Amino acid sequence: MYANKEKAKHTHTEDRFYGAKRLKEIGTRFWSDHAARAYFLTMIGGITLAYYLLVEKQDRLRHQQGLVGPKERLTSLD
Amino acid sequence: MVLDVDETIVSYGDKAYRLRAALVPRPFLAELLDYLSSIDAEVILWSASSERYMKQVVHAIDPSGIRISHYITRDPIWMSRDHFYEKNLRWLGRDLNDTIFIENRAMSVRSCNQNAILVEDFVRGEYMENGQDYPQNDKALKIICQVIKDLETSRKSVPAYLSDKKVRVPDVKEIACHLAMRQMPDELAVGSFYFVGDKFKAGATT
Repeated sequence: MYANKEKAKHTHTEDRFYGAKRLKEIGTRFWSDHAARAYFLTMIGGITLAYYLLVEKQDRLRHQQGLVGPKERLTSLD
Repeated sequence: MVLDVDETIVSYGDKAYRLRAALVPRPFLAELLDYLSSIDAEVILWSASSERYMKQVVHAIDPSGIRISHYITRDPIWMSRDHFYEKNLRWLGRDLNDTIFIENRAMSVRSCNQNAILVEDFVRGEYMENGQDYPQNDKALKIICQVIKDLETSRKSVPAYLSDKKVRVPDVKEIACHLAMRQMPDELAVGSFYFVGDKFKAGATT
């Protein structure tokens, strides 16, 4: 607004979709790269698999040990 | 020892009075918890409340953190979202012979009624005309404490102790399941509920 008075910044644009267009450009360039695509999708798949295995392990442990886990011995305060 | 929280060991009043926040413990709660920690019992609070509220309750009744071993709060892993949710002691993975459950809601303990003692709803008196907590002269937790002492000396399992009318504390009464809850299906209505106080009409065992 004030900083941009009389189009002081040389990068000034009136295009309100300028950012969206640049983002789209970057996305298109990213997805056209075979390696980047493979890396990104492998990461998503890997995280999903890890989460599934974690939940499955939690369920198995809960089934074995019950809702509150194994019994704890109270330690003395002193 | 598994304890329910709301209307069993504490009462928070109802929603209209939340601004005047006060958590009222049931009479003899401190004595019961002190006795349980003195015999090194595992005390579990099991409530359908939120975890935030449960932390407040634990902070209030056990500030030093040595009386309560675990707490269980509202979670879809055990609780259904209707009014028919239950608290099944088998899910805790503990020996049922050594586990006793104090509850105020018969529906919650329908699957482990052999190990459960029902108590009257403990309701904070602030929104009543006389301002007294209900029930008056409440000795339920004192009786529960006596039951624990008896269990220690008698060396019996909890279901055997509770079912034996000659051995158990005379204040613990029993009522047939189908009389306590009319809507209970026959396959679940096995045995009887044990209760303290005037929650049900005493002596109705058939």
